[in-house]
Amino acid sequence: MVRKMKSDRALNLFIYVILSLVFVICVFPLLYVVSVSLTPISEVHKNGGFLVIPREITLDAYKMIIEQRMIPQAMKITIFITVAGTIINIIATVVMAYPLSKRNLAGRKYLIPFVIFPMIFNGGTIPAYLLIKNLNMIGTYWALLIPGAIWIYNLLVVKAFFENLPEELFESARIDGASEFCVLHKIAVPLSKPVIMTMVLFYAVGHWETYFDSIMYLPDQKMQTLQVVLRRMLTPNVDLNADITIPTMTLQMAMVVFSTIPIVVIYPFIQKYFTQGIMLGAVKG
Amino acid sequence: MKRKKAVAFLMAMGLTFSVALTGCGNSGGSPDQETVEKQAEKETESGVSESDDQSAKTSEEIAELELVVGHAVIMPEKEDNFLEKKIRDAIGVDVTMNILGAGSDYTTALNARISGGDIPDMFQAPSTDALMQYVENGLILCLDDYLDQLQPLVDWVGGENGIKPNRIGGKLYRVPKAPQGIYDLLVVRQDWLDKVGAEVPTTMEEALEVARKLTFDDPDGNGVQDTYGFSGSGLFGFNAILTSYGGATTNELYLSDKGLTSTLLSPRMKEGLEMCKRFVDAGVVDPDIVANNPEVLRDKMAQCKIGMASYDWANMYKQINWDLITAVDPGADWIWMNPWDAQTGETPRYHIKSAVNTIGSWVISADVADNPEKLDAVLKLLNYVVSEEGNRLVCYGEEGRHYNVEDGMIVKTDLMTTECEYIWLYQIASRNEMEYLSVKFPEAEGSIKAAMETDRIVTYTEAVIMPEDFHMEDMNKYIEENIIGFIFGTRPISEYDQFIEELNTSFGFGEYMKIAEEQLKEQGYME
Repeated sequence: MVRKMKSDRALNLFIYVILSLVFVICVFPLLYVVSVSLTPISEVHKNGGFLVIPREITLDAYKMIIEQRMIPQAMKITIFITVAGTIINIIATVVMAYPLSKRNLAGRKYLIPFVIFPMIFNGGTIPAYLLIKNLNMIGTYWALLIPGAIWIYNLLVVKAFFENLPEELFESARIDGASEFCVLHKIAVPLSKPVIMTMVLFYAVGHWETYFDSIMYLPDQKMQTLQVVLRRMLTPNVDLNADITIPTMTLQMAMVVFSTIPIVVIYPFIQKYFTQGIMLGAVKG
Repeated sequence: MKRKKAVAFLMAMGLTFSVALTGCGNSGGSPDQETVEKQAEKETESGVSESDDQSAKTSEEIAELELVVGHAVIMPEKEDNFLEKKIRDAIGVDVTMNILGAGSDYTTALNARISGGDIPDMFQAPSTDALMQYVENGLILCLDDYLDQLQPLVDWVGGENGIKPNRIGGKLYRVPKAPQGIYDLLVVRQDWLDKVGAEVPTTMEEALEVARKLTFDDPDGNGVQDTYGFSGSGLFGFNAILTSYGGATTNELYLSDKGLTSTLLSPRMKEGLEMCKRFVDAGVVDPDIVANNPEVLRDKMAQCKIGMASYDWANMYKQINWDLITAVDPGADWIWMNPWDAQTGETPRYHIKSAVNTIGSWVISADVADNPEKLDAVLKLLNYVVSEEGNRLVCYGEEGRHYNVEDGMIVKTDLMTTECEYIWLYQIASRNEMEYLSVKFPEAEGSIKAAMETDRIVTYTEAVIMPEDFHMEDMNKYIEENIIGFIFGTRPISEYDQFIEELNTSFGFGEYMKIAEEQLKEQGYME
């Protein structure tokens, strides 16, 4: 017995050591990015471009970003795109995944390949542009919201989740006289919170990172999203041009933090759904 | 059961159609009222979409032009853009500059727009290859028919000599522009030279010796061997050595006594490569030199890791960069050097200088020719940006606000730095480079002059346009890989002739040289 406890303890210790290492590996790059963004550039250089704990702290880089005239506007736009886009995505994904998850859906075997086909073969940039142009979406935020309303991969994940919900639950609801919509709304969706919240995160991150679509479909400069504005501040070194100044490492890191923080902030609120046990006690017998 | 199936099926189909219908129903509303207003405003301003006719009606006499570029620059909002207002007041043309991403994003986004029939009135050609395709498809306006109306522009570029590099197949598609300066400079830390008891090197051998001292004699005095005698921004850094031997790290065409030749065919190229290898073997070259970009090199210089470098004045001597480079060691005294003499009897030269300036040239949509108002607006704009008033506006901003004229000299104000960050985009036909740079960066004037006066290999590579089926990129890639191999010892330099043979047999290098010669003769660069 004592020997068993000892071996358990050793195993635990081993697991803790491994997990601590994984933790350090994960946190270290983040810590580096945050530290450099908060340190005066001269201090960064004094340390050979590498530091983990800042000795001097400055918020100059963040001030520079916030004072940039296009940032507040771009931030508002990106928040709007993220919220509106995610709502559209979730509604569309759930409403489409639910019927597809039903094995008795008429024409299911034709619908599924129809859904999967564009995931494997997509039209490419130019046909997408032509489509959006012909839909009169160029220059409107619809161009960022509607074409990507459903990501097929996410749809398949949600569909698979719905398929795993016990059919008995739905049967019992139907026996009680619930309509199909009521079953979806009152039973399927509440039971699928973990997968829906995961999709919220995936879709929200996707919208938050909107970059190329913004360049392509929104010619108006003041309609651009945050990532486009940040990228412009980060100036790539394509041509040597006296008028362009390469931003400092501090500013680059501050931009990384600035554009990541909102997503990092919402993550803890969603995380609990990832780990939540779901079907416990739902079906008896 | 049947009913359930039907409901589920209807739901799936309903969604599919609703998504499609929502997309079609633009007029059915948008995310908010503000968006609708923005859209209406955008269309009136830019005239991009099918609303051209309507916008022409609303703004009657003011012709609208959409200009598109691919640069990472933050533009002010239309109503705050003083430059566009000034242009409108001066020539009655409502210019709207739109940025369509930068780098490769620009090429993709522009191609998508052009394929969709949304050709901007004027735009910067992303590359010669892309431009060739546009020209073949008849998308670009040929300016030859309008040259008589563009006399100010013709005079600005110095007549036919300035125009001919912009011709493609004998026709003028690119808006000609004034030559742009070369920024590359060879620099060394004078304070470190003093510490290790060395002089500014003038020959290759001296440079190698100085690089040794700057690497191994602990010039920063920290007791650790953490410095490198020589670095650069990418493989081009080795041009500090190769060009004095008539070679270069890339294939560059130039005129020698014997006619047209390439840097790769220089009789002394092998000697140059040997010298590069001696630098590398001596352990004095920054091992990351090939991977360095200007930003990394600037940071390394700031971190006191580099003693000599092949760099450029703009990333060093502009105040903002100088402050960074000297932030750690305020005593860092970076000075520029003359090219190192290879002692071959030839003039020492540092880096290359293109005889033609066509990169980033503007082109005009062929559709403009069908719209007399737009055509007139384009011609007016081209002539305006080269006029004294117009060129000053696109270079320095507004007189009295962004600059003052004192004793005939332009002196910038602080507002030029803060309010004119984007105006260089409007320098469609370039600028008077020396005057411009001296006004904008007076702190770097000495280095700008030094860079302008440095002897370089004058190249004509840009003037040659190869047929589409010639795999120029593959050839250049192969050249780069092998030059790296020769310099870093992964391929013996004794195989250099074999390498040239490979270029001839596998990539058609000989054919390239023939075509280049024909084209340069046609363009009058050689007899």
